[in-house]
Amino acid sequence: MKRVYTAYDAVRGAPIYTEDIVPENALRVKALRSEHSHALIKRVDVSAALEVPGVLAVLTARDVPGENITGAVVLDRPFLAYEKVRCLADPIALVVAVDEEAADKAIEKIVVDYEVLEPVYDPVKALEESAPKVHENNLLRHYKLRKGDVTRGFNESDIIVEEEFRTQMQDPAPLEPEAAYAVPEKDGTLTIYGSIQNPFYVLTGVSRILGLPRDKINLVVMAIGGTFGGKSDEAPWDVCAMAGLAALKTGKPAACIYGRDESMIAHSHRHPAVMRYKVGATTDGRLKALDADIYFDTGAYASVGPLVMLRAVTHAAGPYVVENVRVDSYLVYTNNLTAGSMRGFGSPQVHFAVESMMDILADKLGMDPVELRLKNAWRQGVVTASDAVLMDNPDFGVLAEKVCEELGWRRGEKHPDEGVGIAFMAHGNSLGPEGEDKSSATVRISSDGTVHVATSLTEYGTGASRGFVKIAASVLGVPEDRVVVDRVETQKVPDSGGTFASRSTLMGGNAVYLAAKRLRERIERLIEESGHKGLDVVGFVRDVLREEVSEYAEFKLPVCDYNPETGKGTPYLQYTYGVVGVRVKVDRELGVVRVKDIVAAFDVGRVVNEGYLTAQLEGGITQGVAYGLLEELLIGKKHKVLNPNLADYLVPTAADMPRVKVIVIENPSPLTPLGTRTAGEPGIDAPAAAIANAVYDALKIRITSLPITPEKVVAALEKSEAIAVFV
Amino acid sequence: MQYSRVEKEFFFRLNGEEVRVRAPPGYTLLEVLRHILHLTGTKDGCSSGDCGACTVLLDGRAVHSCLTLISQVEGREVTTVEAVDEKVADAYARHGAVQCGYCTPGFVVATAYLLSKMHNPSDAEIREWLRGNLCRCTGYVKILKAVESLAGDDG
Repeated sequence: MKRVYTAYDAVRGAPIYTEDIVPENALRVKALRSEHSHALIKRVDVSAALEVPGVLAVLTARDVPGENITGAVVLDRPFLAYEKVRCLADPIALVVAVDEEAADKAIEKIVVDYEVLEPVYDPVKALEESAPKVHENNLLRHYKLRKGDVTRGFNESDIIVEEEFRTQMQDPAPLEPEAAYAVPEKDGTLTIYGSIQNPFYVLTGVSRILGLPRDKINLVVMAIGGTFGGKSDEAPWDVCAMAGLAALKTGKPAACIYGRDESMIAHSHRHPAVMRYKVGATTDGRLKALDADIYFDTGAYASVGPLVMLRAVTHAAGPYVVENVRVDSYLVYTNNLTAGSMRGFGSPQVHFAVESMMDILADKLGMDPVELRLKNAWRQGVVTASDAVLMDNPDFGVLAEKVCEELGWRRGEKHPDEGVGIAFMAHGNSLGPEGEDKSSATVRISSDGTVHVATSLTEYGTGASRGFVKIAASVLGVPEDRVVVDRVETQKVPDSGGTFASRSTLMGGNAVYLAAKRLRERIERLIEESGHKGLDVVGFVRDVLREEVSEYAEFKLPVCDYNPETGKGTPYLQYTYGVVGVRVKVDRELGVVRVKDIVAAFDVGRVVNEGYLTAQLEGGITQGVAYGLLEELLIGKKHKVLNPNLADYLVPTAADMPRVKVIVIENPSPLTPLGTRTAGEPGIDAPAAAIANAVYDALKIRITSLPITPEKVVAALEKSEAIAVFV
Repeated sequence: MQYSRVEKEFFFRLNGEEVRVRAPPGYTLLEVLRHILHLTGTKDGCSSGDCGACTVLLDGRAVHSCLTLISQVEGREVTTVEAVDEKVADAYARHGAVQCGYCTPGFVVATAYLLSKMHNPSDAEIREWLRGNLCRCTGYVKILKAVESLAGDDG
């Protein structure tokens, strides 16, 4: 079955998403979630719920057939909560009913007696001795970055600046909420269709919860209506396991489809952060020391928090050469909703801090912020903040020049209340210290001459699968319409790792390239041996061989040797580099920041598919602007999520966004066969800092917490005016 | 355990054809389209009128089908993404304005509505008219290009 659908199908609603295939008579599964952020569960009574017409089963922790424990990195989360709830997303019971209405009625009838405990929502407070204990120890990870001696660095500095930054919880908010549809098969196996970003990871989780061996479950990946991290971590495990459990218990097909509110509460979010920075430099702008303490709030459960923390700490000094560095980062449990994957993966937070610090420093030095950055920016061969030599070949000069030129950086007259701001970014490609980076692909030519590409890398709008088609077609010398990407099913495709860390084209693309090359070479040998010179590879397989030929290849990146205990070593082999410039206008009375222009230049190594590439960068930038100005998922004073809907949680509309100008530079990586750099996430890293810097340029107020809301702007203006009057 | 629900018959025109359906009166037009008529092009993103993925035309006007009860549709004309002017859909595809595809049907219908009311909308008008539709993938750049390509088009 074909997986690649074209844009022409999609505009008519043709791609088949999970909910599209659920028959009206399928059973529905819904979860009762916790009323409290932190409480002991004293009693759960489901008897009244079972009496509701249309209800087939009400399931609690004791009904879980496998292990009632789950977690992407650390097994710390009960699939169904018992004894204790740690956040508002914790599911306590599942109702299986003939339709949603019956399920909703039954959920209201479940009685849970709680003993409410004091919650903690701040990662710094959660580390205090007297803080409520979310788990046995609220400190989950402590990772470091070390180079030289910061005390000496500050002694040798002429100017030292210090600041504390805070960032918010951002929601991935894909347009399609999480969904799964489980069908019990006659042979005792289970087929689960779902909106699944990383099928082999989900298979591990679902198999553990359901107590079914991996080969008894086939996960089928349907069209995915966006993820941005929300479908990368454990939310798809939950919907697949919930639907699967209902199907196992009843012997009937069952669907679990989250509503918008449930989706926004239950999936992974961007880690809120508290970041304390101190930077020292000489009067001519050389960075002598960077010292930082970074606290990431992972919420009630780890999810992939430990991996996010690795990315954050290794990006915490920016793409700059600093002589002496000390960074300590702490990943902390709180009673917030769980944080894990979200586009950027720990990188947007530290970019906001570092790029704000660079402007604060430039202001103190009386230097142009671009000049200060370029003076210290990475070049090939420099020693980075983790005391490792950079093998990659960034060229920030070209990127900055393009952006300054297009934006009109500090040229001409400055309009009142308008400002320009800039931020640099570097985004480590693929997994780096987060794990062994191995991908794989099978490329085969079937007897009818069709080329099939199979990987476990999923398509959710990135265009990666179109990239695979292009790569395979060009290596084999066939038209693109002869190449088909197979649908991802765990029983059929090789495990190519996850579709995360912007790694599809880099990792999957290179594996497809190697497999296709191997296939071509093998068939060319056969052509030569059989004396059919002049035939193309596909024609030979179809007309002479008349049987399928298949090749498998793996692609690995060398293991990176960054050590989070010593804080030294290479974290990522190569990076994507960018410079983002914005022009804003601020309304002094209302405090509203309006972005008028955005210009962003990215070094993407090599372009595989320009349309999809710029779409990724434009989309990333838009989410970065939203991170800077609009989006924040909030828990209120009464311990409820205040805005789990798309009316109160402000995803930008077409009317909120300026036209984004993306400039693409091709500077191939010297370190991988195709030379590509990743593009899925880098767009989101720098806009928030560029906006904060532009607001400072406009009004001389420094906003250090995200999002930059009208309230914060007005308050900062009042404070700065009060100081001005006082002086 | 007994479970039954009350259903009623409804009659309306859908994409140029007369249809009769039996549905619970509390069903929304979106539920009828997707679950009973199996027209799954219209998407459900929030069920509360916030995202625009479920946009259809009701008597030529863009509405959220998730907020429209089937009883409100009785005797009226509904047009879904499956039947709007192909030119609009083609422009979205040609300009790469489609990524995950989930919001796209709603945008296509909203764009058809805009062009039925305004022959040659300005950039600001396009943005304003499409602000009821959320796209999380594109950043709107390519969507605006697609709509602009249709503006003033007499073909």
